Amino acid sequence: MRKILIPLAVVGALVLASCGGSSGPAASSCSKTFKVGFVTDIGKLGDKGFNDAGWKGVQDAQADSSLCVQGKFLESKQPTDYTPNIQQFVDQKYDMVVAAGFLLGDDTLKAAKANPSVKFSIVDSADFADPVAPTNFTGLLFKQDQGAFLVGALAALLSKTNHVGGVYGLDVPAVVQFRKGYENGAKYINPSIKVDGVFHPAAANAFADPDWGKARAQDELSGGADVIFAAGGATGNGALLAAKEANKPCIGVDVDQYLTYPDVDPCLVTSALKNISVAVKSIIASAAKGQWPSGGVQTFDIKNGGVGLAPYHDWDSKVSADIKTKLQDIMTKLKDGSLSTGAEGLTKYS
Amino acid sequence: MNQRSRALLAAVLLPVISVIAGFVVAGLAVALSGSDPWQSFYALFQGAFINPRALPETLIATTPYIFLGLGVALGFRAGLFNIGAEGQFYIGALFGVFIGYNLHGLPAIVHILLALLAGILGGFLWAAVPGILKARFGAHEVITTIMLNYVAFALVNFLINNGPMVDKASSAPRTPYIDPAAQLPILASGTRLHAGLLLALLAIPVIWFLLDRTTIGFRIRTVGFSPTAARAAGISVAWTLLATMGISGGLAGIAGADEVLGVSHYMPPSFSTGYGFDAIAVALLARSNPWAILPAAFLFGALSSGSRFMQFQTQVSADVISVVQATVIMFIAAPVLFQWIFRLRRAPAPAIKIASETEGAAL
Repeated sequence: MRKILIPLAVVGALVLASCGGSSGPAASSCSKTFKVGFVTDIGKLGDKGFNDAGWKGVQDAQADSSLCVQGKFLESKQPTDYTPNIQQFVDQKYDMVVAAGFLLGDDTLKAAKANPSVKFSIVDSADFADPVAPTNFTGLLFKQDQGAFLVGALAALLSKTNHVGGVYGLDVPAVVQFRKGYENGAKYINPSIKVDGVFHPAAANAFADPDWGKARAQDELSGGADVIFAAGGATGNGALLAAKEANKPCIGVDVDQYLTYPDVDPCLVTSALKNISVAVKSIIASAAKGQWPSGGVQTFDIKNGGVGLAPYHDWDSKVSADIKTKLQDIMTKLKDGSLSTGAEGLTKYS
Repeated sequence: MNQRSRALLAAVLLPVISVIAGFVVAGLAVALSGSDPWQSFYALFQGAFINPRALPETLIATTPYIFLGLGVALGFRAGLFNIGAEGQFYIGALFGVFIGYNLHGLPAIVHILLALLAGILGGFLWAAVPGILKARFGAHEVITTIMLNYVAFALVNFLINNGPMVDKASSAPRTPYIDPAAQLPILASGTRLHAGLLLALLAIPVIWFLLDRTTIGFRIRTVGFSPTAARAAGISVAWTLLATMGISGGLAGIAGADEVLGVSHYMPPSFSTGYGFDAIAVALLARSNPWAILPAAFLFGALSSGSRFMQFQTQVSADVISVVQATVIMFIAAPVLFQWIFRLRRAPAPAIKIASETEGAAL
């Protein structure tokens, strides 16, 4: 027995020696902290997508000392973790639970109904199986058509051939709004411009088919288009790659793809952003200040910074001041409502 | 100390040492990631046993480990290394959910039984493929079961991710919810603990009886001990391997159906992340003894459910808990190393012997 215990004791001592110095997030000078739990989907943190962006929103809220927010996350390893992860925060008397994305929609809605005193919010999900959402539940939605309208205008301003292209994922409302917004934006600058566009036909891998995306972008480029907008996950990434190889400007989507897809940095002018972190921080702030919105859905648009343009990065010097001014003008008009994208809330492409 | 008690001591001591060693190494990993190992493991303990709903959640996680651990252990006893439990789990869940949401108006007991039987059938069929390949052609089951895992994942992904089994009313990729009649009853109100636990507990004596008290069990053990001797004794090695593989797959299949009927009530495309692989460790830790599957599965269930509160308290990555599990597996998989380190007398040889390809082909 001693021979067993000695090596264990040695390792145990090593563990003890390396202990200490753990620090948790603590709010300072707050009479009462507003506790926010963040539950990831199975992509977990580090996905450079929904989960990272949502958690950054919680951290941003925590960094704002006036809100007195204290946030913690739980990562889901499998879909059956969603409910117990949400329940963990409820059991620990959290004030609010934020769920990262539509995969958690059913479980979040169920928890919201069972716990009316806790606030629930979910990124990018509103079309639930159950249309009657309780008042403690808010879906965060984005006006993607506004960001698309801006990059459509930008594409038209950059085009020398008077012909631009777009490659899209599945024919679903969000993507329809991207496509129509882009086309209307281009035509707003130049009514006679030719705008190519194609939805992915198959359902199963519509957002995960880079070869198809690349081939379609090459079709459009060889047909005379000289700017490519890609909105379709990995499918879109293939289209961006085609533009990069053809030395034509390209435009990304959702996140600043300059940072997430460096392969196409040379062609990437900007990206049509959905600022998930802004939306998450905003809903937490509303809840912490006791200004919880009614209506079940909170929409994020260009006015509140929920959608917009990513930085130009390498293209900053190549996009003329004139173009920047024109885009600024469109942004102002979209904000004050004097200009409409004509694609808002669109569900079918026509 | 006589020979027998020494062997028993080694059989109990080795797994216990493996688990402790796993925790020590994991403690180092936690410390390196900047957290306090004592605080972390205390939280793990609280999250597995003390907190509200902790114990029920641990038992919920234990349930699939029991079924899957029994399945893998049964394979081990016949000298089969079934690495395909994860795929069989998926197919069992797929069959179970299909019956679960397509039938309506049945009495609960009938609907549940049908769905569970469908799960068993799914796992059985999926495991029978490598069973036949092994028995007829001598194709090594390690290779074929691993490969069939990926076929199962891809099939499930195709069917549920926008395929024919997707719920068109939902924005998330998943099947429709199963009929309420197909849901396993909840054992304790206010928790998710479902009757599947009782089925799993029932499966332990059943598998023990099958292995130790029936002809088929005798054949399984004989083939596992020595296929050549079994053949000489007139046992059909091919049929025994096929039957073992099928039953092993059936146990994995019922685990999958049980998860659908008891926990999720629908099936998403990525249903499990490694229950079937963890089950290999459960079976190893239990040294393929059906009774010992219970504490081994309970340990893995506790690690899985306790990790939630551990992450809540320490905010370390969920992967750290995987380090505990992986280290435990590593220390079990290297018993020779341990026997050498601790100068233990050689324990009875575990019945893990992979029959060679030529043996299979010669049948």
